[in-house]
Amino acid sequence: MTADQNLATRSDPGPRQDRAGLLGGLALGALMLIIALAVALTGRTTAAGADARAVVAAGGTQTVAVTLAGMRITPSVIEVTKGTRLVLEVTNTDAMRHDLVLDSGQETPLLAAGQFATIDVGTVSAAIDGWCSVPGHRAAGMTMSIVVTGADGTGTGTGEAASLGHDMGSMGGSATADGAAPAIDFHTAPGPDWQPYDPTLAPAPGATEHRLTMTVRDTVVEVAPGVRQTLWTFNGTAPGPTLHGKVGDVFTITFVNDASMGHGIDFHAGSLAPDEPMRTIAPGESLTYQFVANSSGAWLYHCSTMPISLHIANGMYGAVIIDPPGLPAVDTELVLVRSELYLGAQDGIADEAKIAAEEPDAILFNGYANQYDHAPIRVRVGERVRVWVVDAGPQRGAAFHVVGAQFDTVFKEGAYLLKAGNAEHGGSQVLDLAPAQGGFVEFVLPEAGHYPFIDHAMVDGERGAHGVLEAY
Amino acid sequence: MLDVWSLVRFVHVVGAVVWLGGQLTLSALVLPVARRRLADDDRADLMRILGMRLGIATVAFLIPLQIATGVALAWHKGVTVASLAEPGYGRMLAGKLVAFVLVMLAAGLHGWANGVGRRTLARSLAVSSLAGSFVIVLLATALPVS
Repeated sequence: MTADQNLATRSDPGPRQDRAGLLGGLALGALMLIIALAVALTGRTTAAGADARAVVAAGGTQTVAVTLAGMRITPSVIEVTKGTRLVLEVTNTDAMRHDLVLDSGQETPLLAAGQFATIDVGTVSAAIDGWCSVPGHRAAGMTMSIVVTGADGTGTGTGEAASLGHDMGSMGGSATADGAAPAIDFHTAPGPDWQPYDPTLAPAPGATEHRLTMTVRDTVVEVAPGVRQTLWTFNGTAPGPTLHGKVGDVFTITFVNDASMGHGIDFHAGSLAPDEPMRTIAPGESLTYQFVANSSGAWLYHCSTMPISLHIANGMYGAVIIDPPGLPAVDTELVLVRSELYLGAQDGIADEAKIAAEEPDAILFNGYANQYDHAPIRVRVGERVRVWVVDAGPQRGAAFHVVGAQFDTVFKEGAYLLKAGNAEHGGSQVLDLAPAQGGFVEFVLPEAGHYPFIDHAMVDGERGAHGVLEAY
Repeated sequence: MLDVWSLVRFVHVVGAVVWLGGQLTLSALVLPVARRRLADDDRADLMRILGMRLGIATVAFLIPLQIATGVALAWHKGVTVASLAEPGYGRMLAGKLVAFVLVMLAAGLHGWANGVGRRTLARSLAVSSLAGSFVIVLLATALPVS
């Protein structure tokens, strides 16, 4: 205390000590910065490729840590000496849910981020394949294999395990195939209870702010007469609801996941950092997605969860229509969302192998094969018709054509390609769209009759991308 | 969106602002003026009392608050002890926590050095605590958003 008093009452410490204190403090601060940055910026990268192959010591019980993340299972190959008992400690370090299923019959439950589970594989005597059973993840590369190296193990009493592994293996194989897809008969009519998807574009509401809840559910939907799929739908239908507004409108979407797996949403009609609003959310979760429609156009929205091809093919798409300023009202305004159907088993989900091979079973307007052949769209002779078309894909382009009509107005991807009354007296026959593109065409039907509208990629036009405008 | 987590984040940020602002006020505003205007013992007295008050507020209030809100935010973010070792968000947060511990250590030692009359050391520690606080804020702003 006396020392304290002494120092406190002593004369000013003087500029030299003062500077020493300051410099010492800054040096210490710099040291803190270096230490903190050393911690922050170093560390083992757990990128794909690291620890791709694990070799397990022979004999006894061996435990291997398995990580599920980034559409990879690490290690992807585990080498085991025959007769070794293998235990897998499986951890999901990803933001989305995963599991690990082995064709030897064992599996982990669905693991949320950070959760782990243990699989006792038992004594390994034959090769075993493993994968994540969340739809699409196996095709995206979430596979692993346990391979047996022939060297002797601890004992020979493994015949039972070998036959077990074999049987379960074949069972796993057939379970994946899940039965054959039903055949589509393009010439049958739907049942009496069938309701077509309303192609009419509802007028944009007067308000400049649009609020909507969009809920994803697993929904059994008829996609062709007698053919049903369990689609992942936005608000119960595929395509999901069509949003309609003007340039500058604000859309506030409450996105709810009531389905059985992770999903996300991506609105092309707004521009924003995808990180938060387009993230995948787990079942039971919701998020708010707000965007300003700064640009006019026919915009696609779709699920943002990998593999996006599967999620779009399984019904997760829809349109946002933003009118260009000064767009005149017309008598009939329609929206057609074109998509491909990669049919899985009856009541099953889309077939990933067909998606990968780009071999669709049918092409759909508004989610149903030949929908408007069964329910023709009636328009008046001599009145102006505007048809908005969005190509949801997931993979193929569109060539929208109306048999017997010529388009005098074509608006594609934010610009008029053609306007009525142009000096060249030009007309148009097809609106071509790459996957995700959109636009509209306008025309007048000159006399009463049945005007088919088709995808003029004729193979596609003959497998579902077909409907009828009935002029009266 | 303004939800309960924005509120927790708000409290966490305000806590940091109070701690950093308190130090900055003492070192950069009060001390130079006190040097010029006050007699040596008055100044030493004033600085000791102000330092003690900030110290007490820190230990009794700010540290528990920052730890509680910080742990809550990390939990909400899905941070686990294991993920602190992973490059990216985890490592950045670990670096921030290390800086936090170092700063609190420097601040505590500053109090001790003042108490035993080692003024140059005390000043060094005060300056390093202030500089280190900026390091914490730097790492906080460097945390990846997603």
